[in-house]
Amino acid sequence: MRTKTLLLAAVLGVAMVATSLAQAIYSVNVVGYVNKTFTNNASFFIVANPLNSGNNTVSTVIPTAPDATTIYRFTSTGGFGQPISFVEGAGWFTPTGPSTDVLAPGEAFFLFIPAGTTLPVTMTFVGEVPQGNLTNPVSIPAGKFSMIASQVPVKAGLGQTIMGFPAADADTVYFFDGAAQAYKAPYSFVEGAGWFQGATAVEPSPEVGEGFFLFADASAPATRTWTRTFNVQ
Amino acid sequence: MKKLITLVVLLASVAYLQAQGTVNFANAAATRVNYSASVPVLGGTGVQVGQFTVGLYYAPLSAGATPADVLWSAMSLLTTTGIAPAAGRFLGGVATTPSSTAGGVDAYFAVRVWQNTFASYEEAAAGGGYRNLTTTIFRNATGNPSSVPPGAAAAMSGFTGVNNVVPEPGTIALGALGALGLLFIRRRK
Repeated sequence: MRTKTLLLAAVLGVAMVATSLAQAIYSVNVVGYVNKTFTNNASFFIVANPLNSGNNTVSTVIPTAPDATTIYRFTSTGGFGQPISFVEGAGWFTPTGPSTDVLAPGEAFFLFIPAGTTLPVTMTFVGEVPQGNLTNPVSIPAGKFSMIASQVPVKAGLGQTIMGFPAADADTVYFFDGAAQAYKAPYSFVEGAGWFQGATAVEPSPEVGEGFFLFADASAPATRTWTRTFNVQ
Repeated sequence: MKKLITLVVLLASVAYLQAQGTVNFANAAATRVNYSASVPVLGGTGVQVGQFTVGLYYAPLSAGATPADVLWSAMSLLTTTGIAPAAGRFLGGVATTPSSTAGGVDAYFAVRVWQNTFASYEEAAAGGGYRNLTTTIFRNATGNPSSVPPGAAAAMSGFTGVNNVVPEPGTIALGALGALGLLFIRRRK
């Protein structure tokens, strides 16, 4: 009787485990990819990594690129850092050795496609859509430039709730036109009135994977952080 | 006192406006540093990693109307780096011009490469052998990190690679003559 009970318990146990394993497992992670295509060479572009690809190191985010493609990161305190160059057959390098730079979603950077590169160049960003309570890794100090981007792959105006951008009076946003190799007319934020490009009321609306320069007026809060809550329904 | 403050502010503003230009002192596979095609075995291949020094030379636009007008004596050594991480490639980082070239303004540049057992290009040239390589002077844009918004360093788009080998035959002949002389002295002893 005892043996029977034990055997029955064992069978039930195995059956329960099997049932639990057979149940569908739902993941809250949303994995995808974003293609960025560049149609001119000898040119700069302001780009941002739109997805979380693990450690987000440059070699993970952009595993391959045309030879001599160069990335310039920027900080509001130090300006541009040393270039990060792709050497065909070797990978990403700074002047001091292999690059360990992290390109986290939310940080924008200059990408240079060198002259002579076969066009078009398509870079595919692969990874998870950042979700939950998000804090942009780039803080926004008053009286300085920041190179920043949306942390999530959504195209919307900076004034939209989904973007959650903490605009302050006299903020100025500069987009770089990769085709013209020049900055577009800047957008300015007027407290109580909204975003303007010149005299036209229009919001700056970055493309997915596109970054921009933001100049925070000296009268803005000393440091702001772009936080938001984002979930894929 | 007011005048002094005004002068200081004015000078500071001028200095800001005259911020220097920046270039990315780096090359690509298409512009790598090669041995001359005339060098036996090595001809046409990239110079080895870790054995050469690469120097970036600079002159302001006032040095000549065209690159051909600029004398080597007007060029000054701006910065150096090594061959890495691949044969014929160098990644010297951002080089900043002196204040004689404002950010965003073109300047003249040239690249010289020499075996790093020598302290300078000139010493390598005097030493003879396949130890020093040079490129013609080229005009190049610079970036302006002080512009609004800031600009990244310009690529060295005017650089077309280093292939030609100096010293000239005369120097090699002189070296050979010296070696023969030494041999002769030793034999006599």
